[in-house]
Amino acid sequence: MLFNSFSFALFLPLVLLLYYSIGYKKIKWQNVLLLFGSYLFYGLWDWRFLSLIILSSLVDYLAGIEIDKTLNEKKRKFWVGFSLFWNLGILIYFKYFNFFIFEFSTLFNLDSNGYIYQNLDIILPVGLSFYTFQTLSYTIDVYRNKIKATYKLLDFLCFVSFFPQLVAGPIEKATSLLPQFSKERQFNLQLSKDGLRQIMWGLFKKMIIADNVAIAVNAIYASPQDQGSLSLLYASTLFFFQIYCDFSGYSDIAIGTAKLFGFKLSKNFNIPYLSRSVSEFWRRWHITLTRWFTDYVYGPLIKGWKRSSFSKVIALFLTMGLIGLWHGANWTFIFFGLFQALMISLERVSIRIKGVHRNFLYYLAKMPLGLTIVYSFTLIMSSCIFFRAENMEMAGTIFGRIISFLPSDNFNFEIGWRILFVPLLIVIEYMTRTKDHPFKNFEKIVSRPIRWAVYYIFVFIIFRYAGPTEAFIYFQF
Amino acid sequence: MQDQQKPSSIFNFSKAQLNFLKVCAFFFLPIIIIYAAAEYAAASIPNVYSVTGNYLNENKKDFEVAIFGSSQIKNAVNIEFIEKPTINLSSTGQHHNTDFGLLTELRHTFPNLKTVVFEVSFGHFEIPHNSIYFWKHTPFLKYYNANLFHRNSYFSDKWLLKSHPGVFSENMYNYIKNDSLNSTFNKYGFEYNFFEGKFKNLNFDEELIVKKPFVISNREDLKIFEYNVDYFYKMLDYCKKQKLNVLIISPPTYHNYIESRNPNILKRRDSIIKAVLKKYPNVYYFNNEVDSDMVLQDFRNENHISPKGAKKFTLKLNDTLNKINNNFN
Repeated sequence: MLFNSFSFALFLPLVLLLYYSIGYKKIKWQNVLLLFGSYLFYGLWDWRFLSLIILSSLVDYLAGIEIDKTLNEKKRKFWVGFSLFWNLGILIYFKYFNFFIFEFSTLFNLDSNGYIYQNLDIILPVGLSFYTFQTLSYTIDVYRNKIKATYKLLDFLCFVSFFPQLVAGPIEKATSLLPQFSKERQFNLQLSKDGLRQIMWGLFKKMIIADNVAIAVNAIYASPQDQGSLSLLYASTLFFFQIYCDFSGYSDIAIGTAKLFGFKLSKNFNIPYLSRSVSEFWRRWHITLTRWFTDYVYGPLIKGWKRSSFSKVIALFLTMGLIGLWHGANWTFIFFGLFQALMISLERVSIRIKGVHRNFLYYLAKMPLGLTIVYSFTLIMSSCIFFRAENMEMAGTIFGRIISFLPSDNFNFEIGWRILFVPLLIVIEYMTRTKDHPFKNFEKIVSRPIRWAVYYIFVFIIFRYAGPTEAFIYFQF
Repeated sequence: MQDQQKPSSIFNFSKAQLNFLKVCAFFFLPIIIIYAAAEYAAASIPNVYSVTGNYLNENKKDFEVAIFGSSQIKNAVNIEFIEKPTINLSSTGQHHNTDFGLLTELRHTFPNLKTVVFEVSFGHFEIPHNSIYFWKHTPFLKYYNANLFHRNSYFSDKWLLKSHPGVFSENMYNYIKNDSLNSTFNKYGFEYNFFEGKFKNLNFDEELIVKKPFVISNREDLKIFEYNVDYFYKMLDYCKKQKLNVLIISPPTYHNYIESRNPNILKRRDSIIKAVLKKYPNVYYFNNEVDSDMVLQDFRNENHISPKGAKKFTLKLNDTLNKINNNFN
């Protein structure tokens, strides 16, 4: 079920009404409802893969209990290893098997016509990368004694499958989400209103900006070899806004929906295009994923490697490469990650000037804001070319044509005046940059009639100018 | 504001919840009413799919020829000039998978069908097929009763505005502006007054037209090519099994379009058509891409012809269809 679908527009109020009517004291029944609602939400996409979520949940539930029950380090290691093996195993099987097999066979000049290797004819279960990371974080945190294992199976099943964030995050850590299933969730009028406003903002970003901008991006990227520099630059810039609005729009809808049920999910985006450096970008972009990789990959790596500058760089490259790979089984994604790692490393390298060690971040902080934003946005937008290109060859063509300053005789906005939604987004988000979303505390600024008029305008825009339905990009990850 | 009320029992909301629900109802009710009215209006106003659908449903038992294709065919074929009972099921952005979906879904309703016409234009084999989320699922389901992609269909899948707000609200706007669309479509769903386009905008000034760049899909993609060709063979196998003649057509394009075509794509397409003609005795080819009878005014843009050009093309298509029929007999 998609958030921007009619089914969801029916599903959400129905589940919410039932949830309210159960009453906040009956936590268990509310959780049962959430669990069934979540399974229905996922199952409407493909019932078969529901068993995978349930199985993953049971494996990690069991592993958590076994780790908690024993003080024997060997046993604890076995169970955390088992959880890692299971979660990474299904991730590799469904997401990376064909990629690795293909690369391996290419490396050794094997061919697919014989008996040597065979591609698997499988589809990637929606949201696999998100919920496996969430369950993994639970077992690892139990192993690290950061959280007590839960013995409440229902709560744990809800934690893994909570429908607002099941298929595309935010990736919640057990420490923040799991306890919310065990305590009363009183109805909060303000929070509920805020949730609805955030859902509306998310729909606007997804359906108006991401889906419309996608038309232009798809049209230009369909034949990059026929495009001039300006067209490709335009499409690449728009692509950044497409994925930003697609994914942050999804996150907004997820967070807003969770608020209606009295849950608090983590902020996932913080106007990343206003970053002053690439390092800062990753503190503003897909925050929960960055946090996951920092806690479970980068942190342990530099801890194990004694924190030398060189080891930090290696750890950074490894982590960013894995972040890239997390996005998809393609070299373009790996390069996307490595490119970011290179930029972050260059920003962090200290140079001795007049006896004082300073890195580039220091100088960036001294530069005018606009200049630093242009600097970081240019680099981020460039790396997005890897993200969008179908293969490295296509990425090379795009880069090559952009820097060749080829004329764009047939330059066309492709979506006409709708392109103005992008600057509108920037202006709105910039003006409300200190808030979680632009409509936060809206009632404190304007009276109800004006507020409702604004809402109705947004609703009209969403209905009237929505682009052609595109699945949320991050569903494929 | 925390709701401090005691827990509510089943179907007994707290005061704050009731308040919230009331405000929501008050806010959303006008939206639902207006949207429902707009949907109703969109469905009541004739559009190209409803006109074609009416013609389809009234004459389905008679059709001997069914034509499929993209906007190039939609613009190029005016059934008025075809002697045999024919239906044109082509539409903008329609690719082979949609064509085939329509054919297989509607085949049992066309008992007299003898010939199907498929478009294979220059780039057809290297342009990806329509996705299963193609918005035309809705009008095809609603007016042709064809569930092309065998998607689970809900009642909301027949809502036109929901399927493509832009197309159908523009249709409503045009209807209100022009009062009626009868002057636009003939009963076969052909827009006989539709001359708008780049060429008209440039006052049919040949010099300007040739100078002005245009979009042509010259991107080579062997993966898509292989997939599309396999799929095309599947379509032809089906037609053979169904004992249907197949006419492959390539409609007229303007000379600058012809000159800009990627020779590799062209070579691959032509080689496939050659192989197809050799393999299937029931398949014929009518290549009208280069047509000296077509003059500048017969085109709307580089690869779409105007209603005037459509008359010329359709008459030639009619001759070809008659010849096929004679061969068959």
